[in-house]
Amino acid sequence: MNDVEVNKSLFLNAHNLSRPTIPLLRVKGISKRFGNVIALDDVSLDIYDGEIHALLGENGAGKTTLANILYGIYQPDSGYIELSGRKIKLGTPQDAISYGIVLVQQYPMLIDKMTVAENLALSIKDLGYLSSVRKIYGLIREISIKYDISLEPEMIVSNLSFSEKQYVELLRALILNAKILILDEPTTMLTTYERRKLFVILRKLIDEGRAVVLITHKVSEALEVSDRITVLRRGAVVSSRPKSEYDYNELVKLIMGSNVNDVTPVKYIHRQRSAPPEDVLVIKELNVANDIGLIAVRNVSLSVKAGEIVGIAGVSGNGQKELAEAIVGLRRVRSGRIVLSGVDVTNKEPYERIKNGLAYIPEDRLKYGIVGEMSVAENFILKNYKAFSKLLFINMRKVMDFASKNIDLYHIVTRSPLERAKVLSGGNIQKLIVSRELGLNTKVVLAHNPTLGLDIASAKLVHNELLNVRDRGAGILLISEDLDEVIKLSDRILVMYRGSIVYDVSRDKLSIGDIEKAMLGLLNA
Amino acid sequence: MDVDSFVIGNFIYLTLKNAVPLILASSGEAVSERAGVINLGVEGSMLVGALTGVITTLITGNVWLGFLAGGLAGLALALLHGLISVLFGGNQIVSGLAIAMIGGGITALVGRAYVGRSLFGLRPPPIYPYEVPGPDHLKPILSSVLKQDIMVFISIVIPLLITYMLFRTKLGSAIRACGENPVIAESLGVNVITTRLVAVGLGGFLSGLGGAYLSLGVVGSWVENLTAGMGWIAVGLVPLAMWIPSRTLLTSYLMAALISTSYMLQGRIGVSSYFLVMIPYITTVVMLSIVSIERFKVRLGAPSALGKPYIREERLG
Ligand SMILES: Nc1ncnc2c1ncn2[C@@H]1O[C@H](COP(=O)(O)OP(=O)(O)OP(=O)(O)O)[C@@H](O)[C@H]1O
Ligand SMILES: [Mg+2]
Repeated sequence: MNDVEVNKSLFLNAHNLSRPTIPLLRVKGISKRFGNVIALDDVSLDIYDGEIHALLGENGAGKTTLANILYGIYQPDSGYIELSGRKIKLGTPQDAISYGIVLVQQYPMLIDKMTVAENLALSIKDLGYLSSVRKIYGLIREISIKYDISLEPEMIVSNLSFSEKQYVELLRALILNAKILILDEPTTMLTTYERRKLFVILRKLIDEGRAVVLITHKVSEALEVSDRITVLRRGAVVSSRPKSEYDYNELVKLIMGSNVNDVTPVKYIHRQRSAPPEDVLVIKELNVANDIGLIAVRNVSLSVKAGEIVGIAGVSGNGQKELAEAIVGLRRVRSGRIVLSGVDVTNKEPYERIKNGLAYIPEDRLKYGIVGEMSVAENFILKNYKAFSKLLFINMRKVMDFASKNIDLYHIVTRSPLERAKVLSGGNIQKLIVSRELGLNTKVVLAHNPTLGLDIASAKLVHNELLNVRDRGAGILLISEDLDEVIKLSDRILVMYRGSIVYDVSRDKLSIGDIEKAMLGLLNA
Repeated sequence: MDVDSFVIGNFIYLTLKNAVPLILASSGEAVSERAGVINLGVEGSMLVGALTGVITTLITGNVWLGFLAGGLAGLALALLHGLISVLFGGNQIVSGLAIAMIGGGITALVGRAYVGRSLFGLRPPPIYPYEVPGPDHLKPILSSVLKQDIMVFISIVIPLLITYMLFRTKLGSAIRACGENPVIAESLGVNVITTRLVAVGLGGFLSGLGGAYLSLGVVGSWVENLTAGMGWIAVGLVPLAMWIPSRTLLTSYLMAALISTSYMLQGRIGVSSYFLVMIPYITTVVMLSIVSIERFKVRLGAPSALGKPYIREERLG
């Protein structure tokens, strides 16, 4: 950059409203359909350098689809993209990268078994195929230091925390010298502290004259950190203006359109019970190993009473996944016992547990929550297909009616009940699972990150449903990385750290500071 | 001459020689599987390589050209597997089996004219063509190494080079990424199709080379179904070596030792020679069954996307 340009960009940062006529990236009339579903409908927006541009929208609004088009993963059906006034074609991610557009995807897209440097090497065009990966160690260290990211090139990705993985993705964008960084819901799994730190880095990036597109469905976040906000609803842009022209309520209305009245506020009322109810889930001295045979759950004991929500907070990767899988029967336990409504189900088949009233809202929705190749309607009745069948036959009309009713009730966006479940957006898949699981006569619910990636309306709906089944007398074990959620819903809060329960407090005695410390393993130190 | 040292020398000589095709084919297959592509066509590539090697050597009179042509023939057949399973996303097992059969069929047909044609004077020369020095009782052992041809030593260097490539270079990272998760690999900027084809091709070349060594270096002529299952054993050695090419050295030498033992015991002990010949295959089957238990597979480091076709423009999640 020569002096004149430096002055120009300083000037622009100081006067955010006086924009040059040519944006860094211009999206013009982009449409994209998947079959009958219109994911994007004539979308146009301008992205300027030196700005954080928030892209807001509810589940299924088309945010990820737009990001994927900008990164060359999907091709638009119509419309075009201009970079600094020049039309460009983005056929593959490689094309996008060569134009300086890099996408940090919703879930870190990294190869777990490889090191940070090996992952990053794959994206560096200038590194010859037969050159040693070590050649980029210096570069990685240099950039990490510059942005205050504590990562070492030799670290194996599977040992990293979620936020660290995201930093690897950020490093990737920086090494590629991205001019435009698109982040797809980067804050979903982050703690407040990690989120702040990320925003500091993003600010630094735009101060260098880059553009950041921040995809989110959290209104507060968009207001906190962005310079400009575009709202997508059902694939169309409903508004695109500088942040200062919005307020919170207006944004909520824009995002939800006519659905805004459907959002019944959650009543987080915690009832006082008279008689002590019985335990519906008891876990005694449980030890569970992870995929590579190391102990991931250490001597965990806990119990959940009928009509109670027990929340387990903790940073992801501290044994929550293994604990959940052991409870539903997807993973064998090394030692200890799991008792469901008085029945010992340790190491029994998942079916035995379902029979004893266990409902499961899994974290990995695509893998454990739905059968992706089957239709939405079929997925609704996976667990109680018997209620829809006579002898050997399933009454499809009954199934379709049931499915249509649920689709309306939960506002699931799908082109028809016959659509393959796996093409729904993340949020809609979760709504499907929740409605199926909680619709049953459940005694115990295991909910693992049940609102991860859901928009406000859907998250509230899930919370309401959980509170409803609780009020109907079910016991709920809520394992969540979202501390706010745990605190809002739980009657008792436990914290899991390195496989053990390190903190246990009832709702009326809770201290958020202590919980956060416990989550970072600082409490007993 | 001391009988004991003669037997030992013979054993070492045979083991070193027999290991070469196994090392080449299984380290090549390891690369292919690291990229996520199982190639059950190794046997086919070896057969094609063996016959092409013989024909080329007979025509050109140059055994090195024979090796090269053998490797290229193996590569060509493997690329057919690549075409079906990588480019068109077909089932790798079916395609691989088909390749194995095609290799067997073609070589049986074309090879008829070459059965028994002697390669006299055309085989790779020993690295030490002179009289072996030293005391008499050590001579057989020394010659078991010094009378080997250069390919025996090259076959030791190749897995080491490949291991370096796989675990130190960008190409290696790309190959492993394709084997772990092709969707992620693509999003990181790897061209999965090309990379998988390169890996399959390299595997095919090495299988072909191994086959050529079998005909040119070990047997010294072409016979129908020359490999007699060597290719299948090589495939079986890959998980045992934990998909690490340098470890195929270890597993191949063990297997070759077993093969040499079964040769040398034939007619000496009161066990049917059929049974003795079966030993390497039985061992392969047993070991393969053990390592295919899911838990072992994960611990041995099996590529997560092994055997899964990759098709573009699927939903990413
Ligand atoms: N590959 C695909 N095949 C079919 N439909 C798809 C595909 N990808 C996306 N869709 C559909 O396009 C719409 C928009 O999906 P998209 O993933 O872009 O939403 P989103 O705004 O990112 O939602 P979320 O907040 O839940 O992640 C959804 O209705 C979804 O079902
Ligand atoms: Mg999305």
